[in-house]
Amino acid sequence: MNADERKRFRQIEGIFCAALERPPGTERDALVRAMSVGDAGLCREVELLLEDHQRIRSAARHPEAGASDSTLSRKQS
Amino acid sequence: MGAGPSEITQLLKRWAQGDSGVVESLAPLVYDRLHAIAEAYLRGERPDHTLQPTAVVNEVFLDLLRLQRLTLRDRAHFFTFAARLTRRVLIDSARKAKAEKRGMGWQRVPLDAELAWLGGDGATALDLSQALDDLAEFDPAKTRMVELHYFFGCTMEETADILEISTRTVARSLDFSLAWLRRRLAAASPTV
Repeated sequence: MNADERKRFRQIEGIFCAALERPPGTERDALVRAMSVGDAGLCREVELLLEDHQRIRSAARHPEAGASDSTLSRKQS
Repeated sequence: MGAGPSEITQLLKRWAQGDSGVVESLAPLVYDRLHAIAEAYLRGERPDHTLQPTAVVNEVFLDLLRLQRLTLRDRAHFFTFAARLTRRVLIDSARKAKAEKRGMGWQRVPLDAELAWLGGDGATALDLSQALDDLAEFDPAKTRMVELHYFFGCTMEETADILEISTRTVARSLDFSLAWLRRRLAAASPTV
């Protein structure tokens, strides 16, 4: 773990938290792009985390559906 | 919480000062809560599995007694430490079951529906433990938050109180931490 990795972690967290203050959709997407200031990798990392956040929220609201979703669970058969 | 923060803190101060008898007063204040947490984790367990909530709680207490020489300086320190012990007991159990190839039916029920996506087998518990350690390398406070809220069952407010930060900060940090953990687990296993 070096200083650059920690710095990027903080950047990702900062953009993620700022994005959550906006409703999902174009406004949030635009904010993430703007705060990533041309860093496509950074932008993508935040977008993926926001997608995961939505999946987690969805699974929490509908735990039965979440448990049976193969992308959210890996229960052994 | 079943006991006030000052009550537990005072007992821990006496414990740290060498009053070993204080354990008898402390244990009843936290035992019921720890037992309920263990029950929640093990609710989906196979009926014939040997692991029982009482055994999990007893393991946590035994570890606390063994580590009595360490100074648990206050309520926050105690809860954080107990959460780690609880997590460790569960992980050890999962590791044992996996090693003995008897863990296929081990179902771990998270304390909060937000963690339902983790699945329920022992291997997932091991992966989560590693992911939490990875998260701690970036930010130890985030791992503490996850442990306190999701593993120990502290409310957002209690977690904020223990860590001396705002409830809003806890909520946002947990949102980020869960998403980060999920992404970490997904990267580690294509089946997650």
